[in-house]
Amino acid sequence: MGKRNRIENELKHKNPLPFVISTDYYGSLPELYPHNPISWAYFLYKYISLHAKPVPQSILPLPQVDFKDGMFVVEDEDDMHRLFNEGFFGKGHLSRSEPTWNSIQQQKLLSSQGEALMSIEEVTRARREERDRFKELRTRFQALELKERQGILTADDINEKEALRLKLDEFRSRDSRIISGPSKETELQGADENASKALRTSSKEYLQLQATEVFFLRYALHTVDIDMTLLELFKKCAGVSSVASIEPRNNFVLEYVVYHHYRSLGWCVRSGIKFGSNFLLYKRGLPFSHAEHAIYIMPEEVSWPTISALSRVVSGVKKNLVLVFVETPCQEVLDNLLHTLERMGNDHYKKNLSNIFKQYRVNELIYRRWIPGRNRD
Amino acid sequence: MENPDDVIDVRLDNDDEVEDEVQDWKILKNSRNSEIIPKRGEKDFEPDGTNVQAKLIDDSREAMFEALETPRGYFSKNRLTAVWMKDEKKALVLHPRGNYFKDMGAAAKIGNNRHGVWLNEIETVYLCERGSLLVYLGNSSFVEYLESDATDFDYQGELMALTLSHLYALAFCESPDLLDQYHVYALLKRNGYLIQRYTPKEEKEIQQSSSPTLTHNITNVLAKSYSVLKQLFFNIAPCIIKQHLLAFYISSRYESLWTDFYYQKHHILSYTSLFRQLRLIPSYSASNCHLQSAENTSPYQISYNIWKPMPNFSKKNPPKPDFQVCIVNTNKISFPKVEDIRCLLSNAEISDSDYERPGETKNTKAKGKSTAQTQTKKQMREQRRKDRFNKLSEYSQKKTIYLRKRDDMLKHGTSGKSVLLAVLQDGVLNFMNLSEVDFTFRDSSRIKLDNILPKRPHEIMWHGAIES
Repeated sequence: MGKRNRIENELKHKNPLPFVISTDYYGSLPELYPHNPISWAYFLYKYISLHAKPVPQSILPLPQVDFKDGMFVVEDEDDMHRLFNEGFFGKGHLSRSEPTWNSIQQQKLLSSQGEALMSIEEVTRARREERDRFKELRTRFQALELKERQGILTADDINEKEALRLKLDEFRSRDSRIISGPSKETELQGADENASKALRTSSKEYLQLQATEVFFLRYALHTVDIDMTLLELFKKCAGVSSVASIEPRNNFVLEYVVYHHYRSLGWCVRSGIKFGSNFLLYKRGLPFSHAEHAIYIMPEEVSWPTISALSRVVSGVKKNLVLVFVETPCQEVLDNLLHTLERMGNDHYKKNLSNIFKQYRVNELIYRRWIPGRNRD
Repeated sequence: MENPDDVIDVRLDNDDEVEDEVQDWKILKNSRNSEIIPKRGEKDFEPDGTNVQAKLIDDSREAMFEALETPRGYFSKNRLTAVWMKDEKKALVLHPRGNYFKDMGAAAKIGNNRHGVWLNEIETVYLCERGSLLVYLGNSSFVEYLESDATDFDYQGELMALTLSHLYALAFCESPDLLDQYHVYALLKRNGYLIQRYTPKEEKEIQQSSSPTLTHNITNVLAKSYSVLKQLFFNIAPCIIKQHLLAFYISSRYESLWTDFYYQKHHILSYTSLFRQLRLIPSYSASNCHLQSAENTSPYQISYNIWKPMPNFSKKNPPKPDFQVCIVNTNKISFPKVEDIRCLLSNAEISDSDYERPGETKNTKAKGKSTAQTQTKKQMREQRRKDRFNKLSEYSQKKTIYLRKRDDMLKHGTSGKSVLLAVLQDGVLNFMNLSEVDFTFRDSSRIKLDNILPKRPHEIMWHGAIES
């Protein structure tokens, strides 16, 4: 990642959660100098006046999540980007992860009018093409080297080889970075207003959220709106029609407990299905570094081949395998809590759900292959 | 020919493939070839019409044959004999010599001042299979000799020499587990490790208090009660008070915190505090779990303590083991449950050696050798990294160390406790390392991080502030 990109990403993904904190919204509190009483008074004044203002989370519109065709989707373009950029929630259904389909289409439209800069994908393609050209030259150069070893090099060949060597050196020293286009905002401003508007309305992409993500955003942060009560959402996520049929090892509850655990520790948690695990933990987020840990929630019985295969896959992509054992409450305790959850009204859903999740305990364990020949010294 | 740096590179990159590497026997010959296989990135694997590669392979093969042709054997002066004693199920070595007894065997004193070494079943079979030990089957005349004052004994004439298979039958007939243990033992031993049977801590203490006199007992009781009282006053009481206070505080906050519109009604001033408020799910690890199982009946137990090869190893006062291994046979038991792992880890020693990045330590060692050579790309990168680090302010340096330490702890365990599982399936052996980790950084791991940069929210991986 170039420096320019890094700074861009820092700004784009400044917030670790799609949640507006008051100091960002109203300006941060003044510096406090312990030996200076005036700074104390000023700080107090600012602090109190901040608390007199309305909470930003209550006045700003929350992203809207809909439940459609059995999945959780966000359709509004701004909401989509907000949820993805701030904490990396969801996946654009026409994109690899970040919902970029719309902007790529826009790009295409603009470049057909001949006034566009390269998008990130185009930059990658251009770089790869250049790399291929380099490899072609290198192959030719190596063929000549072989001829030299075999002692059948002609005078022409020697000249060609020298020319190739210079070319290759030039390739190697060249700054291979290709400047990408300006960020989306500036592009939008520059683009024809009408064209972009037309695109906006015809936007086909939506952001799809996992059950754990929706539940975290709605239940723990209350930073999205969804057209159902917490209890209904809980039932939908857990895949049950009545709360009473939830078992202690309900898959959703286990996953949510683990998801919440790592989210509350500031990790960026994404699905780990690509590597046979439940979750992947990113330190800051997708563009900053590769995922560091793969989280596997241990089922009640796990076979040796399963665990061995998993460890191989995960170490093959240089990640750390963390086995998470979730200790569950017994059925009786859970049933009691679920009963309370149903009986008490809407206002108590969150607290009663928390009482349930608190019954689960998380144990972590690092699992790694160990090779005698490589640990001796 | 072999670049030390490349070796490290592979080591860092992939644990999996290097073990399948083909040995290059030419190292034995210490020969220098003028032709060199092209470096990485410019390799030609197909036959290129020249005989460079074929010649290199031929040379290497030749070197192997040469190495294998040297006659193998031992000097009769160094012959090591043992006698298998059926009653003891051990082998007695009366004249121990050679390098084998650094970690093997237990001192034996028999009859009138006769000294020797007892080898247990596994050690006997290992040395015998290795071709380092001749084993005879003990009989009554040998027992008589042991009790007498005679100096010499005619092993060859009086006793029957055991074949390896006979010894296997004698040694491993008791329990099939012994054979599993032997597989693990032999593999590790051949890799150069020092190995001893693991004895649980309590047993060790009993062994040490060898002369239980009355005064000794009293002081013992006093010391014990003192330590219990001390524990009560200084550890448990504050712990309980703290927990109760904390519990009270948490419960009073909890009521309001976990209501649905909390975040619509309260100002949140930083993401750090937001993350702290989100903490809900209790997490445990073996060392900070307060519900230890009273009985230790788990089928998963540590079998061996293992040390990396070291010159001054003492059997009597061994240092802390580098690894501890628990042997499991997949045909008999399944993957351990959380209780089993907790039990295993609670018995494990805490290794206090910091995890070192292999790249850094190796490089300093290899430097002497490679100064003459041109620097590899990797070394250059390393050097640049170091220069950049030295230019940083003191705080930034500390922070770099801190962040690296935190990452390392999450990758290799936060408490330093780990156990190896030797997983056996019909003779196929695999090792797994289980390390205790606590993503919330409590107790000892918190102290370790506080030592570098105190009072930071260690457990919160990213709290949103862009720091300059």
